[in-house]
Amino acid sequence: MKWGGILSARYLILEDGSVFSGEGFGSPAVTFGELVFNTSMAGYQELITNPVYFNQIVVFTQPNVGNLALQRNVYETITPSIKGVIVRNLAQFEATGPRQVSLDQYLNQMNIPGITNIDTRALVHRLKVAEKPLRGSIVPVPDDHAFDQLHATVLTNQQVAQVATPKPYPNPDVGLTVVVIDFGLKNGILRELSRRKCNVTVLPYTATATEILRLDPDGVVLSSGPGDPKNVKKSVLKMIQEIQTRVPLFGIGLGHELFAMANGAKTKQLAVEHHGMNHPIKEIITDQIVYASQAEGYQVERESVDRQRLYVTYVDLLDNSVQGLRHRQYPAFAVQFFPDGAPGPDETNSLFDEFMEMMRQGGER
Amino acid sequence: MEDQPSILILGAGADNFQHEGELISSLIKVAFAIKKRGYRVVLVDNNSFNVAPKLTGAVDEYEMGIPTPHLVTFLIEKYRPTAILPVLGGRDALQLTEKLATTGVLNKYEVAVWGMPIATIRQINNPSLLNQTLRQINANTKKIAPVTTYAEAKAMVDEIGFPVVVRAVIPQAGSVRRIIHDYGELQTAVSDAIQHSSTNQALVQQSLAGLKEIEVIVARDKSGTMMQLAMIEDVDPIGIHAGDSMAVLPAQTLLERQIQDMRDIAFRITRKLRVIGINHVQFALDEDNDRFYVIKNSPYLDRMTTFVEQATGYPVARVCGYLYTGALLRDLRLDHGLAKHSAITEPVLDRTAIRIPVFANAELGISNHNLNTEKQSVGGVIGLGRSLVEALLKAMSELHPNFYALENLGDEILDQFLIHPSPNRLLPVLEAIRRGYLISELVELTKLDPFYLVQFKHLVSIEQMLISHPRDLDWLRKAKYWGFSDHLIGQLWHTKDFEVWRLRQINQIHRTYKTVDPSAGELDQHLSTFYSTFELENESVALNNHRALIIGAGPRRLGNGTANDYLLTRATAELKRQGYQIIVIEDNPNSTLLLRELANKTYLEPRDLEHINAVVALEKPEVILSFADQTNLKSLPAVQGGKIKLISIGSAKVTEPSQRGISYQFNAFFDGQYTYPLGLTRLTLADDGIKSEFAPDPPADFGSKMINAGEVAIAKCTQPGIYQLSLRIVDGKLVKGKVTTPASWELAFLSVTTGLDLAAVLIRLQLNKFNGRLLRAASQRKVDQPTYFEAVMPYSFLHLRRAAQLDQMLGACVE
Repeated sequence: MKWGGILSARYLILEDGSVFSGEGFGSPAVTFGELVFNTSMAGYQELITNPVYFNQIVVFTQPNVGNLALQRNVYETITPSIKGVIVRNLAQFEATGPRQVSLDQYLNQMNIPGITNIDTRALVHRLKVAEKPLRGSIVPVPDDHAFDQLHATVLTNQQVAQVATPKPYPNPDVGLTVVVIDFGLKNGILRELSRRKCNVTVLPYTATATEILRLDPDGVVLSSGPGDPKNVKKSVLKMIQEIQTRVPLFGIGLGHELFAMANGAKTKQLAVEHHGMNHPIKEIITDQIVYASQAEGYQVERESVDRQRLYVTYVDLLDNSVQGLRHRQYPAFAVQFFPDGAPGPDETNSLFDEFMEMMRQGGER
Repeated sequence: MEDQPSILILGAGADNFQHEGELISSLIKVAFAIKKRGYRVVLVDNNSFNVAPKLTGAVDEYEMGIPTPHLVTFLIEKYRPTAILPVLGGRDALQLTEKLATTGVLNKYEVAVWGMPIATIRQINNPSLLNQTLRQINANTKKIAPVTTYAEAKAMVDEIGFPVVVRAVIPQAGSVRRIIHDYGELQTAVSDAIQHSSTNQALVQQSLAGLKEIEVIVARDKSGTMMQLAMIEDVDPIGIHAGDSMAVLPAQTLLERQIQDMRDIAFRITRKLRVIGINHVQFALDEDNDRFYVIKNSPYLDRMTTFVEQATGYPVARVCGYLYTGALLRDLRLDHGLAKHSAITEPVLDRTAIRIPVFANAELGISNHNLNTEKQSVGGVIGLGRSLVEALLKAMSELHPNFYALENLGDEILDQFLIHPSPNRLLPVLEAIRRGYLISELVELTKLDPFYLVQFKHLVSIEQMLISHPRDLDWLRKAKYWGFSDHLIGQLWHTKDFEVWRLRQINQIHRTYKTVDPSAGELDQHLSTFYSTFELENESVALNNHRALIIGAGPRRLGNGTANDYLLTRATAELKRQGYQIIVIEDNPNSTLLLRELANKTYLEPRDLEHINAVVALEKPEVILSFADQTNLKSLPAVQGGKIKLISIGSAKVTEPSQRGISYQFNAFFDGQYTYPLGLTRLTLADDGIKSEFAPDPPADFGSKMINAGEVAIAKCTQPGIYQLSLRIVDGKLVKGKVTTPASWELAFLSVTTGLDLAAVLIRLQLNKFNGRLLRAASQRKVDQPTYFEAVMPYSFLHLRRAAQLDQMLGACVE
């Protein structure tokens, strides 16, 4: 019988000099990226295709990944921008239907390298003691040359420009008209708006307030996306300052960070990024606890929130971070987590309904 | 304190097929939490192996007896508790609580019910009421209706079609649940069910056999905050009782959408039923159309509670205990090294956990017994690993099955085994894979998800590579990485386990230990439960000071029931008092040895020599305590080197033909010089049951003759210990039997009747620290202590007609 586990030897090297040996899957290419770990126990397909992982290599703490064939209806983007996938076990997989594609095949097609048989728990411990996200590389030989290349590699800080759409495109429906500003849009947001019959136009993140208002939207969504909000063009903040005075605004993830900055708050980089869906998040007004998908390398500094303009709506109980903000004067709010789930709990899904309600009231005004 | 409020906990009684010790360990954790919140705990129970009353600080008052409406009413009058807690007594406790509410007792004495409102209890006790509620919140349920006649049943089946499941409404003992495929079967099933129903009704329901079974476990506090503790997937489809199915955590084959939808429904139900504490919602998932049905809702602690607790490291029962008192999840501060707010952080795993049921078919000599909707397993074992295959192989090593037992089976018979699952159903699947069956064929035959079959195939492929590469180090490393035991590898290489172990030692192929951490490494926690794998990083650091390693009793099996766990737990408590740090190795998630109050460190590992040896090599204990029949420990290298003292407690006992009928036992402690009587017992070993009576009244003047004979016989022993002389009265004459050591269940019974900590006595004796003090209390026996012991036998549950055998006891009660 053929041994089902022979993959080529691959190594994960980190900029602190450590080497983990494993076996490669997906693309055999050499890859570089920042390492982050995600503690979600399901939804690897959605996670891998989330554009928020541009320039990042994701470590899955759940040991078995790739258990099922890929599902055609749950991609979060068409062309994933994740730099690599690190797992303890790439699940043994056999197609049981003609059109089934395994994670291994998919990553190969998408030119994304993966490495399996890694002591991911040891790796997480390593990442946790680092002062900032460690960079790493998946290579065929862990020699000096590989380390030289890793040290020499400069990762772009213009992540949004790399993943966001350069051109506007419509997603027509019969309901309220919504403009989505794409900072690295994840399909979940479009899915939630579709479910609510919104007539959506997605605009590049460079869109000006004038260009947006020309479409006369009932509301504007600032999408999630990768990277440091400080590296996003300053004109975006101006756009937000203008738009929030005119139509209802809903920011998510990076959109939340930008909304905060546009209203005077500061953001900070986390020493250890937080990716998962198990943190208790308190909704301050109702005192309810919710759980939601989170993928955070940057957060809004709580002390920097200008109480005259904004108030905090959600707080993560574990790290005390700001998870939601609302404007005092304008119908504008934002959350750090992903209310569209995919993957993740649906408990905060109703925020889209709240946004709908806000838009309907805005229409009557 | 007089004004301290009391809580009355309803115990579950003797262990049987429904519970196997998990309610005792959960009870202790819940009781500790409740007491910490300032309540007095009163427990009513008659399980003879309930160690809770004997553990310092667990319960304040123990009332021995079956929780009947009469007794509980009496206890309510006596203690005037603030509330009763019915979630630790299985379904019986909920039914009892409903009765107390209906008869007005709870109102009259102003007793609250903790865990859920009475209205919810009514629904849990009556499935058709519950179904109405579920429909109100748009949760799909299977079609179900109570019937009182065959005609009604037939009319219903005409509408929903076969197959259907028929069972009794509020079933009495011995009731049956059957999948029915035609009208002929329907008639008998309906009349049987009506007969076994307390309300003379049968339930007829749509069968969901073959669908995937999922259990979502939710915690909820008084303020309505909810969190998901676990989503467990059964490897076996519906049609096999969940307790007889392999269960995996986290779920492996579910789509993200299905996971979130089931989570939503489970939250909605838990909220609607206003459950406080834990709620289990079981689903049947039809993957063909993505529909799922709620098949069961259990707002109480059960065997999955302990499995989840050990698999995740999240202290489920302790948290529940706090929640029952009204504490909020967000305010809980858990000790034992858990990080702040860990009580309200949903557990995530960086390991795979599997629960494998343990059957007694071999002991009972039953073959060809197929698994069905009635539970047949008697215990369960947990396996933790960094892959499914590793977790599976580790759990399997407790069952030490012969992986190659089916080699010579004909294909047709093998097919029958695949189609009609029986205990150890993995073996025919592995055999079929070895014979080259395709995954698609196996999916058809077994109804298992292809994911699992592909993993099993991977297991077989490693096995094949081992066979073709004897003593190959690369394959040895790979095999260890995937969880193969030295024993299994040795079998494939036709060599001894020891040789494989030596090859590993020479080549530094060592296991490492990972923490059972509910945050998958994210939070800084200082936890003390470990499992092994073969990876880079080792997290277990050996303890200092005096260390004792306790080898757990393993899953509940027939024989002593949970008596071994009872004795080991009391013995361990004594070792702790003697100043030892306690290290436990155990793979039965229900064991009371796993209590954090007891163990400084826990290894959730198989109890075979390989795993014990590895723990011994790391921890270097001075003492190893085990159940007496575990004789293989003598071959451990460290034991042979004389570095470790082996001590043991308890033993099994088989029925000897001479023991049938009535016999007497003179029980005594012998310190090497003097004999201290512990009392007479009368064992009645009848075909229909096993009973023992303490301090019986033997006919005429036999009593003193027995005592004399016993003292004389036991004084001849050479080693100190607890002994018994078996005696009979034949034709008016006293016939002496042999001097033996009492079985575990007898020791447990004697401990309860005499009020003596016999486990502690035996431990001190073996540590040479014995002094007579422990025994002096013997004469001061309280009058309300029990006198009767009655075994629970497995036969009627399994529909067997057998004469009761001592070594087939499942559990026992005392009164």
